[in-house]
Amino acid sequence: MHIVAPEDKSEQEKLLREKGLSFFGAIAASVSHELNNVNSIIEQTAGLLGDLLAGAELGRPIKEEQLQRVRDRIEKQTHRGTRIIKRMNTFAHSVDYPIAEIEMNALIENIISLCKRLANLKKVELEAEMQSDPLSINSSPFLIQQALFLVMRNYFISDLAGETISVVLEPDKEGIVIIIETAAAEEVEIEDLDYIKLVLNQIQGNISNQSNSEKTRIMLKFPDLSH
Amino acid sequence: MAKFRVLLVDDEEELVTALVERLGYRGIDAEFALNGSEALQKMHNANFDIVVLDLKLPGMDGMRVLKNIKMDHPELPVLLITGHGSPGDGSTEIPEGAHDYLPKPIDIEVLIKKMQEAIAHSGS
Repeated sequence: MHIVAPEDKSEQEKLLREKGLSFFGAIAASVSHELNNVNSIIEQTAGLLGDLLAGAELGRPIKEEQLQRVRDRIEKQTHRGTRIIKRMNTFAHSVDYPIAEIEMNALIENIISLCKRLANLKKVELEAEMQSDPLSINSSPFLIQQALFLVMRNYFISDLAGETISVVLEPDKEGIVIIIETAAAEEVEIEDLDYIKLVLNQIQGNISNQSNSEKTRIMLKFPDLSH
Repeated sequence: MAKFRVLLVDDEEELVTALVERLGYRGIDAEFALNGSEALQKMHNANFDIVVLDLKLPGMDGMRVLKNIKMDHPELPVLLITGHGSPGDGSTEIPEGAHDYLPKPIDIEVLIKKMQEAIAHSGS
């Protein structure tokens, strides 16, 4: 849906609040689905253990490898659940301060991880290419994540099944740039461009489309607001 | 109730493999597919008495898979699995072509009962 950003300041703030909540809701809904899957697997695995025990009572011995498989599966899923909860907790705390010093590698890796399920539902691979050294700027962690999410969402819905979307973080003389790129030549239409620009305006960021006939490439720039 | 054959369609492999094993202990012949295309391929190659289909699938989503199943096998009962309470967008209506739906986590005894009901209903 195309949204025209209003000119009135209070209307802009209202829109930012509404769309910000909508973004938060999209991530929370995806995370709750994934945690539900983790829970479902643990429940079925516990049920399987119950079936094995019931079989043992009837004289069908339990093999050691069956117990090992059950143990491994529960361990794997609890680790998966812990990772998801940790990521969601980090994301939830990104609204704590409007402007903060942000380690960008950690921020981008976290939001990419939270978006992987949404990408996978569209059969798109999402990969992050971060910097080996810490890269910190002062800005709004929530608005940076929202802008990146809104851009990536356009890739997800652009029929790019089988493609890989790379999210590359690079330093820039004024702050950082995030490049969202895929080798697919299909045109990715950026819905809500007006709204994305409104988000970026809040933190002096900008967006540029550098796509050509061989690839789709959108660049987001975020200055360090402490300068 | 006569034995039956079920195709479970869900992208969570560890969930469907556990369900296949548990259904097997209860005398139910179950196979699984991890996406819609694989499900349609398996249905092309073998006969099933019922399909249990997750709505959230990678690539072709569950609703599209349901439509495809119903085009080729209009009489085949399909049970939907949903991540949360209803089949989608807050609606409690059962989508056209589906017999019923089950929320995750799945209670295996409820699943079996619903499958039996769906098969009995399709044969009536």
